[in-house]
Amino acid sequence: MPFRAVLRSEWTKLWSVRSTWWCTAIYVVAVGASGWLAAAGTDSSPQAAVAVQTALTGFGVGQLALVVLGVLVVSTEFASGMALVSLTAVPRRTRLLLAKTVVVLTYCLVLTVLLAVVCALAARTLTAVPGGVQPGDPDVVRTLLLQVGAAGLVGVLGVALGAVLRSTAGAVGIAAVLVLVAPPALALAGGDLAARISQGLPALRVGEDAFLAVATPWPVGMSVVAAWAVGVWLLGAVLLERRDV
Amino acid sequence: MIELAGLTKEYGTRIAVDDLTVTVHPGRVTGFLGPNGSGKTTTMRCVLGLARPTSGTATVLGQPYRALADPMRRVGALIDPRALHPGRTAYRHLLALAQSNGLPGARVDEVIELVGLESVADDRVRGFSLGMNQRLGIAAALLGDPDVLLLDEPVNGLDPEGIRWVRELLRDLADEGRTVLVSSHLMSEMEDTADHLVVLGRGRLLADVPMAELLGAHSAVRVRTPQGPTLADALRRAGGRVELEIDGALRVEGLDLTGVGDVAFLADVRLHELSRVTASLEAAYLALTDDDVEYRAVTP
Repeated sequence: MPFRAVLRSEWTKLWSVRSTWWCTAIYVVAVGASGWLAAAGTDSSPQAAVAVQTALTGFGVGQLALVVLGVLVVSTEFASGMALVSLTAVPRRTRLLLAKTVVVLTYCLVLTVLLAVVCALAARTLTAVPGGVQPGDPDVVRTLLLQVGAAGLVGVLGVALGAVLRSTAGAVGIAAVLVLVAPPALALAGGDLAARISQGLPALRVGEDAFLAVATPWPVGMSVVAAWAVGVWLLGAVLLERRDV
Repeated sequence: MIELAGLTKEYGTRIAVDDLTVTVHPGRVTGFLGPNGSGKTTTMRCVLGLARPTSGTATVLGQPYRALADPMRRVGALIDPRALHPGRTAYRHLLALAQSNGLPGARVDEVIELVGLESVADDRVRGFSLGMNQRLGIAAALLGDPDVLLLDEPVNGLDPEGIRWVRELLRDLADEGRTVLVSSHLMSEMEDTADHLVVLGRGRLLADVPMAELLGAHSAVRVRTPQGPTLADALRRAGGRVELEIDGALRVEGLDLTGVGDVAFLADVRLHELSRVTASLEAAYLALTDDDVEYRAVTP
């Protein structure tokens, strides 16, 4: 049972349910439309990277669709009982979870690359920047790559939460609190401690910035999101191996 | 071959399977019987590595299930026919399963045709009846052309034609030398299908016997005579257990046809009827599980 075979199977599963198409449509519309509107509403910008960052705004909320997709890929297996069949076909459970993760990660990365390019084109076309938005500008490229990386990580976080909680409502709820509600709420609450906690949560990111949260330099922010994704994933893998189905 | 050795599964303080040691052999259909809650499904889950035994072991083809390199080619299983993503079509469901074990896509079409779901293969399973789900589950179990089959209540929800089809399918699979373990609470079904029975009650093994032996042990001789009391005395002296039936005939256990006939001849008794009463599986099963029904309706 080569890993490639399990990957193919999970790819088929991903695209044979409607929720994937819904999440894709919501993500594309949220990111593409808001990006285009944000770029159109910004007449000029001092720097190319800032103009691109503005056009990426839609990723802030749009990424929730990726979290939901990641959760669903695992939680619907348990909600429907399909996990019985899947784990009978692929009894090496961590391998199954890894295949799901790779499939979701690939989906998030490919889709986000396409959308990031669209948003960069919007900024280039609609926002006046001295010297224009050049595709080779290292600041622009870094902003776009960070966006792609952050989107991949929240997808993995979704899969991981699905594996830990097994319940769609529970995992989506916790994910929303972790990435969307708690970081800005704590930032607004004020105080050093609240700000520190806010920085330690996996807030959705737009390019180099935490979305609606206490600002963190991008290496810190990305490390925090990555640590959450990997940490919860490992917990999910251990629980999946140990628990009965 | 499926081997259980001291298999025990506890859920909290409840013992679902209690020290079960059974070997299920290839080449015959083994019926897995027991009242609801007697541990049949839990046992199957342990065999498939879905539940971890509290103690003891379960192996398939000499290995723990989770160690099998290509499980679907070795073992086919149907645990819960409703265990499907409702939004996926039957074809995609089977295709994803086939792909996970590197089985060719053409095999999906074969099993769909085998179970007779061609006309609904591209429908989402949300609208399927229980019988259609059963057929889909059986298709999934057969995908890898496995050596061992475990089917939990596969005829539940099937129409009479479907039940006959499953019965013939199981018989053919066993005749091809495969190991077939099939659970059911439909005892009449088992009587026609199984060669061997494993009977559970409250998680414990009650019987592991050939079907014929179980039925034989609970069969009796029916004898009708105008000299009932004389014959009954003679039969009791010969070691038989005699009961008077409602129509005046005698029901004799512990002696076979020849024995009853000889006793009657020696006692100079005329016989109007001498016949064997084969116990139904239902009766034999009820006798076995009488003390072991976990959920019994209380008769007021």
